[in-house]
Amino acid sequence: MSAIAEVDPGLGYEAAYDSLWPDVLRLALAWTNDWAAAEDLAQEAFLRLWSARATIDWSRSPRPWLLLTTRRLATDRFRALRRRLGRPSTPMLSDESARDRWLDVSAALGRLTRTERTAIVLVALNGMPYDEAAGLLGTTAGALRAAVSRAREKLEQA
Amino acid sequence: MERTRADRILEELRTLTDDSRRPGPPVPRAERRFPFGIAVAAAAVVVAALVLRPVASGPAAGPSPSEPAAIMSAGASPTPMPPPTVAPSGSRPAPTPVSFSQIGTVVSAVAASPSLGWLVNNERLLVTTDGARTWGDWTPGSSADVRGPGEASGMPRGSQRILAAAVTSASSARLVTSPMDGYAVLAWWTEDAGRSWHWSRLALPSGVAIVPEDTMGPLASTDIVASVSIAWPGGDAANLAVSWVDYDAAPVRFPPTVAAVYRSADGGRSWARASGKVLAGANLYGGHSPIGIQFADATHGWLQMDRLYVTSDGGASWATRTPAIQLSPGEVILSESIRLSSAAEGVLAADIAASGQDGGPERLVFYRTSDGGATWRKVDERQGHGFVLSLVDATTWVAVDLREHRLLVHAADASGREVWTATPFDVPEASPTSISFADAQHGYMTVMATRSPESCPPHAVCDSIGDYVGQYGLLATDDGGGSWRAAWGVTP
Repeated sequence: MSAIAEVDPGLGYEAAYDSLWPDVLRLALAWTNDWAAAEDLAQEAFLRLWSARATIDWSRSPRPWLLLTTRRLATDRFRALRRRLGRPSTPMLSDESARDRWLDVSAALGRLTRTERTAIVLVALNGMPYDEAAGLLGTTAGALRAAVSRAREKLEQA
Repeated sequence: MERTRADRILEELRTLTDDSRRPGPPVPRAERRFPFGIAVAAAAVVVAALVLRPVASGPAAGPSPSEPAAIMSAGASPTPMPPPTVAPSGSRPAPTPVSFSQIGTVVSAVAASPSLGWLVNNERLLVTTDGARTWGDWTPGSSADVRGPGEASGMPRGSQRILAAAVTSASSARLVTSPMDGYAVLAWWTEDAGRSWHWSRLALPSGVAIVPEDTMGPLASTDIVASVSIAWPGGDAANLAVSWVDYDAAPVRFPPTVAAVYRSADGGRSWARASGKVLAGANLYGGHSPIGIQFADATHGWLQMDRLYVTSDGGASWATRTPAIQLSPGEVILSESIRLSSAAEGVLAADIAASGQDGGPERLVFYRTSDGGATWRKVDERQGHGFVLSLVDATTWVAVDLREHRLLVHAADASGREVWTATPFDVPEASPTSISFADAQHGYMTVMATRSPESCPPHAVCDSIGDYVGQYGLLATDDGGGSWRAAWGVTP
């Protein structure tokens, strides 16, 4: 256990937030393809990490904990969100240029299944090994790799 | 290296997420107790620790099941192999149209013989006895007279999820299902082509249930039956493997997966749990490994979870007796497949790739044993960029090279010499997801559409919230992949 973490787990939380926010947001985006929902999910995951900070072993990276929590939140909450809204919500990006760029990316990602989106984001962007990403998604490394290949093929045609 | 369109899209997503306006740590202000400067300095130390620490060293309770060291075994032969003989046959074929009809999410498609085969999706068991030209719906409750131990109720469509199936003749099948509430595993049998079914309940440990993860609350700690697999070659001996996450094991956060074998001596009518169990290493994400089971006879079998386990006493004890697979730095084993021809003879194929290099090189390495897995001999290796595989027997192996769109068949020729043949195929806008071959000539290929619609269209598979999941199609060949035909179409 690091010396800092021994002082107080709250500091580990701040560091985790700084370093892991993009990974968590990307997973949520891959799952939902919806910026506003993804930000909500990522925030919720970090809130849960904060709530659980006293029981977290801060000598180890909370990355797996956060990603698993995000995926489960996405599975659970996004269903309710979609039922309520019916349609994906408006992007919450404040910058107009960024919003337009996201809409282009979102349109391309929309051609992928959720599994394919998540697989390629975890592997190609978050740099997760096949077997680890497969563990997160509850599938085999071979199936995950196949999903990544299909995703790449579809993005080439997008 | 030239950046592809996919690379540019992903890079744009990376930039957007890296540059995104961070809303600040979602911590209630009242709970913040640290001076900001101290927090930043301390955070830097912890960030460094996080960055420098390999991801795989996360809070797993035990050894990661994917660690190369986990693949231990008896000896392997370092003998260099001669290059395989590849005999390309034929020119580029005509495109095979795919019928993406209401096939559902394919759980398995199995070619048991040139004429007999079955297809399982989450709701239905479909059987063909004419080489995948027509299909009959054998699902209990579809048209069946369902009888059970003390209950007359049937299996109305949608009331059960099909977990595994085995069909051995034009009249005999075994099926494993779970009701939607998850708190049971039912084993079914029919001897009259699904016209009547009987069932019995598997005695699972208390508290274990099959609960689809998407119905769970966040981080709910429910015991989940991870997977069920059945091995029934016909006759009286049958074996079922059931695995679940053991939340009673410490530590709670990353519990291991347990697998047990249930055995039947009366053709699947009644089941009893074997005394032994397999305890798989904890998964970094609290998940579990898919499972497979195969028995060469009543006592010799294997179980596949995080690695391959072998028993020679009907499941009373298990040991890892797989080859010592040589991995280069950064390589991972994507999957392992095994086919037992007898208690002594078997073949194992390991699909190996460099982790993180999607689309990168991949290799299939084949091993044989002739002493029940005590020793293994490397016999062949194929290079490619993604495979799906079907091991038919000790010498007949079929693989699809996903990038080259070629069917690779390894079999003994007329002189007994083992050779590879490569046959190209063209299935527009579809990607193979699995193959199953009864022999070197007859087999099925399930494919998934590579063109996704804007929203869930008719005949597509969508989940309960309307998200597009995929469209599956089924193809069949009778000439070793020389030609393929659409094999989907259910007879009323």
